[in-house]
Amino acid sequence: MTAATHTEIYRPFRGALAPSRWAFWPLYRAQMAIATKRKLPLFILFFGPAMTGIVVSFLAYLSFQIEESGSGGPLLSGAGLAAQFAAQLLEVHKLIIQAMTAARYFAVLAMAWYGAGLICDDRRAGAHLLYFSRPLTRFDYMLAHFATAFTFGCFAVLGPGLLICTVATFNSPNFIFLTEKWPVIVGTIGYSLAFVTVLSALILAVSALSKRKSYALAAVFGVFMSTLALGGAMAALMRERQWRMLSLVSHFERVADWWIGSSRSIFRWDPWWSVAVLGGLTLVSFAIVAWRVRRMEVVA
Amino acid sequence: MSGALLAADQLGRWYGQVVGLSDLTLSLERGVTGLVGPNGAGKSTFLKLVAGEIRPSRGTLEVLGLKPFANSELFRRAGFCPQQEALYEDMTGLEVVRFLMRLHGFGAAEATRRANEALDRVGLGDARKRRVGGYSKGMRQRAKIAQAIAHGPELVVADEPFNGLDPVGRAEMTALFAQAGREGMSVLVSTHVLHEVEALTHEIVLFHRGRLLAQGPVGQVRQLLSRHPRRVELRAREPRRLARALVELDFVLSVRVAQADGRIDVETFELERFFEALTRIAAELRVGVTSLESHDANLEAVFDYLVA
Repeated sequence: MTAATHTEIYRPFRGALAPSRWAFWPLYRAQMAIATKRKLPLFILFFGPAMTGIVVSFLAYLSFQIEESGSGGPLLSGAGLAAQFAAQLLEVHKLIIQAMTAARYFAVLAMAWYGAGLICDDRRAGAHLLYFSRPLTRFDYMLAHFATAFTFGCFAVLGPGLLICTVATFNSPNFIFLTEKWPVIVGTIGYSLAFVTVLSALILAVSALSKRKSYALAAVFGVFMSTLALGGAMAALMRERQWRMLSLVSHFERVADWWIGSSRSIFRWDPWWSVAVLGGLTLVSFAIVAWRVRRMEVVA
Repeated sequence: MSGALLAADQLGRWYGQVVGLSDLTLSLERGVTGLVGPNGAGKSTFLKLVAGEIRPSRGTLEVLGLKPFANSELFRRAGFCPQQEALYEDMTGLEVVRFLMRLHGFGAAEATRRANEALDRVGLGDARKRRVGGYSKGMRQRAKIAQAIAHGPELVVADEPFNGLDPVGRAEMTALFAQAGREGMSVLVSTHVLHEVEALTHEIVLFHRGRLLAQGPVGQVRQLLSRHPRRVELRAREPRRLARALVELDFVLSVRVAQADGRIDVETFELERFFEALTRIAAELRVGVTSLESHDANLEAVFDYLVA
């Protein structure tokens, strides 16, 4: 190391720095940069969603191509064509539902891995002391961390969904997937964003309550698996499917049924109950994060 | 208080049942000030209050004329070097400081320039592109100091900044803070290693168990403590003979001869009279005084007196 500490001249900053509404942005970028520095976890965690998106997109592409190549025979009547298109669209619709179901589990893994340590690691290392001695509000801090978890969730869920919808749109004759099945596209986007929002809030809350990333990771999976097991067990014991409302996964599935249009017969409760449960969970999670971030000054 | 660095009035901060700082009334002028006290004395709590990291439980505090907690205007004018590790291990030194400058609101180019300058200044120029995870403890301390000074603040608040530094590093960082102080930057440094503060400044604030013990130049603080005797350490060829003569002096409080090496420790309230008498006794008895040392104005001694 070369020390040149005796000759430099202290230059006080004389300018004015305007308060920024985007104060969270540098912290968000830094978090993303740190998270993406290690390539192996990135590859492992996003290989699944990427392959899901690619394979299902290819299947969607094939379903339109096969039908088109099959039209080399006798010309179909108008009604026949309409029936063929309807079958194609239904096939792609089912593929999207399958993809979203598969992506959900990858998303939990990826978001938990990248989100679980966000707040607890900061607190453990004292990094928040560097942030809060700068023009960064507690809200900016929470927003930056939320945006980080949210981004990884979007990569895992929204990315494959959008890819499949895009491929289906551009490969469907006359863009009929867009014109006829636009509610599926809207539903896919809406469901993905809702799923990622709820999960991001939950993971941040768990991170804010945990001492270490490993504890937070275990807690996130614990919440998912324990509610799933409890809901399933109670439903089996009581012979009443409504007990599945205890399961967080079931609520996500119910919302997916409602918005994307998969008709799972086992969930018969009003989907607004699921929206209320997930919304309530999100609000409680945000409240916990706000409380814990505010308390960072106490435990500092 | 336009010229004052900070003013605290009956400032208190506690963590549940634990008192971090109690009833602190204090005013500090601009310049370099050392905060001294043992672990748990309240130094870090005070510095976090000054840096706006935590809010007071009671009383008031103004830093550069501003209430510090969550005050963006103050944050632009002050830098904080915390005691904790605080740095992301996967980022390079340059990335850390640059990112923190971006949080201040500097543009990308300006943030990079300031980060490079600050890292050069703390002697991390050659290691700026290495991961913080590969830094030694001393290098991490330097990086933390760099992020605290990079935006050119009027005030730098540094909590135990010399921890983990080797002797050369300590000397360099001490020189850096002292130089910054001469150039107009105000520096508030805490440490429990007393000689570090003495090398940096004569203005000290002494904390103990969450309370202010003393404040001012080291020598003056010592003079204020007239109820404490002053200590003199002597070495002589015939220590016991000299000790017998010294005990006779009415202004000498105690004389103790060490069995092992014959060192004589004397306590007296009147140092000047003692020196005059010692000169006379040494000449008359020819006991061969070989060394004489007074730790009277030494910070360590002051601290010992205060917390004893």
